[in-house]
Amino acid sequence: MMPDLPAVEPFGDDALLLRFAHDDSAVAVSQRVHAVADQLRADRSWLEVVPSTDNLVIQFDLMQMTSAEATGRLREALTTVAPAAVAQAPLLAVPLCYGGEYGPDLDRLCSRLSLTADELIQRHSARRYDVLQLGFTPGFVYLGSLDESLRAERLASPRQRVAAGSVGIAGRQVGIYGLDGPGGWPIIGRTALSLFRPESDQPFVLRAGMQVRFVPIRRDEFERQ
Amino acid sequence: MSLQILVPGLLTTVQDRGRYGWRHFGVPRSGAADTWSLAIANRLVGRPPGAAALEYCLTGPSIRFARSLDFAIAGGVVEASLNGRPISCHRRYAANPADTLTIGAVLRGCRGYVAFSTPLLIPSVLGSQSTYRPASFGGFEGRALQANDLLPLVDTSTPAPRPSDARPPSDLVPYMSHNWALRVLPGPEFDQLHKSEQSSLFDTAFTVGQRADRMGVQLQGPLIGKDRRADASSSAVFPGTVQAPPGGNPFVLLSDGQTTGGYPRVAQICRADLHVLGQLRPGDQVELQPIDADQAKQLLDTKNALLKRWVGEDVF
Repeated sequence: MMPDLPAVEPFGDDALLLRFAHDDSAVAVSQRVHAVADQLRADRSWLEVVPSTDNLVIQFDLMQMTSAEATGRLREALTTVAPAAVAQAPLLAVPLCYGGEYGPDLDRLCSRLSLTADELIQRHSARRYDVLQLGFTPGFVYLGSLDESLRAERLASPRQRVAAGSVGIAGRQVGIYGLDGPGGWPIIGRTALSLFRPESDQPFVLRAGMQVRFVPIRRDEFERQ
Repeated sequence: MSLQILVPGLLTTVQDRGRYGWRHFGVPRSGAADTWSLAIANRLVGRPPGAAALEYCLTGPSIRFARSLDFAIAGGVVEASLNGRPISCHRRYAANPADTLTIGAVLRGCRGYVAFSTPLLIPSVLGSQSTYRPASFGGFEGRALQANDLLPLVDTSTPAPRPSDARPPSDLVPYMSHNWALRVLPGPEFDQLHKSEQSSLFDTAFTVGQRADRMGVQLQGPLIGKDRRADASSSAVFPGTVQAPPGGNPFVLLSDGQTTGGYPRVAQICRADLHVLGQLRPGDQVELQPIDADQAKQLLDTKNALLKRWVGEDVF
C-alpha cells in the first residue's frame, strides 16, 4: 500500500489528476508516478493513464461512469497499488555522434561552460540516465539527471526543425527527439537509433524505468549507420 | 480497385475515430476533428460511425471512382457536384465507375467528411487508421493526399447492406455557424489566473486566430495568463484542453495536439462539445460557457442518445 495516497482532483469532465509530493529525488518521484501508472493501466478500466515526472492524469470513459464514480474507483485502486519495486533497470546503449552538424549547439555550450568538447562529451557520456517521462510527441524521451556542470538553457527561439534522433540538454534533463519537428533544446549530438517504430510489436524502444547510456561515436561511424 | 485523387484539396487525410491508449508514449488521439459529422457520413453509407473516411479542411478534394459504391458528405457547408451536377451534403449518392465527385470550398464551418460504402484499404497503426502527419504514420502513407494518389478500397464482393434512408433526420444535421458556444469546466490551473482573467475567460467572445489547425486553435481577445512563467514540470493535456501560454492568447488543443505541456491548463472543453472544435475557422467567434460535472455528463448522454436513435449504436 502506498504510504501517502495523492489526492484525486477532477480535470475537466472526463479526467482525474493525481499530484505526487516532491518528497524524494526527482528520479524517485518519477519512478513512483510511473510505477503507479503501470499498475493502474494493467486493470484496463481507464481510457488513458498518462504519467509525468510528478503527476499522473487518468482519462475515464464518461459514457461508462460519472466523475464521482471514477474518483471512487481510482481511490480504491490506489489502495492496492504497490510501491515502486527497486529492480535492476534495463540499460540501453545509445550511440551518439557529438558536435559538428549533428550537434550544432555543442561548441557554443562549451564556450559558455568553459569546457573543451572532450570534457563535455566525457561528462555527458559518463553517467547512466533514468528515463523520466515519455511524450510530448511520439518518441520524445526525457532523461535525468544531467551532470550539474553541464547546465544549459533552452534556446531563446526554438528551431523550426530538429532532426529525429537529436539529443538536447536543458536544466537537469537530457531530451531525445524521436522525430523531426520544432524544438527548443540546445542540441549536442544525434543518434541513428530509431526509438519509435510504429509498425513493430513493441513500438517504443524506451520506457519509463529503463536507463540510457550514451556511447560517443565518430561522424564516419554515424554516417555508416 | 481505388479512388483516384484528381485534386487533393487543402488538407485531406484519412481519419477514423482516433487512437486511444497511447498518450503515455506521446502519441495523440488524431482522428476526425468533428466526430459528429464523421458519424453522419458513415451512417448514410451503412458504415460504423467511427470508420475511416476522408477528412478535408477548407477546400475539398476531387475524386474519380473506379467502381460502383455509395458515398456521402457531411460537415461544413460546401458546394459539391457529381459529374458536374450539384449534389447535397448529408445525403447518400450512388457513384458509378468513371464518375467524378468534386467538393469545393467550405463556406461555413471548417471541415467535412467523405465516407464510402466500401471500406478503405488502409492498415491500422497503433490501433487506428487515422493519419498523424507530424510523425508521418497512419492513414495513407502518413501524409495528406496529393494529386494522382490512388486510395485503395477493400476488394469485397458482398457490400454491406444499404440503409433504407438516404438522409439523416433534420435535427441531426450538424449546425454550422460563425459563432460558437463551447461548454467547459475549469482546468487544473484555473485558480492560478487573476479573478479578472477568470471572468474574462467566460464573459468574452474570443476570435479564432490565424493559427487554427489539427494541433490546436488560438483564441484572441482579452489576454489570459500573460507573461505567467511556464511550469517547469510538464503534465498531460488532451483534445479540448485550453492552455494559457505566456503570450496571453489561449490555445485550445485539437486531435493532433501534443500530449503533455507546461502551460497552465485553465479550462477543458467538455467531451460532448469536442466535435465542435473541428469546425472552428479563423475569424469565427467563440464563447466558453462554464458548466459542472453533472451537466457535462447529462449533455454527453443527451447528445449520444440523439444520434444513437438514428445511427443505431453509440457515437460518443
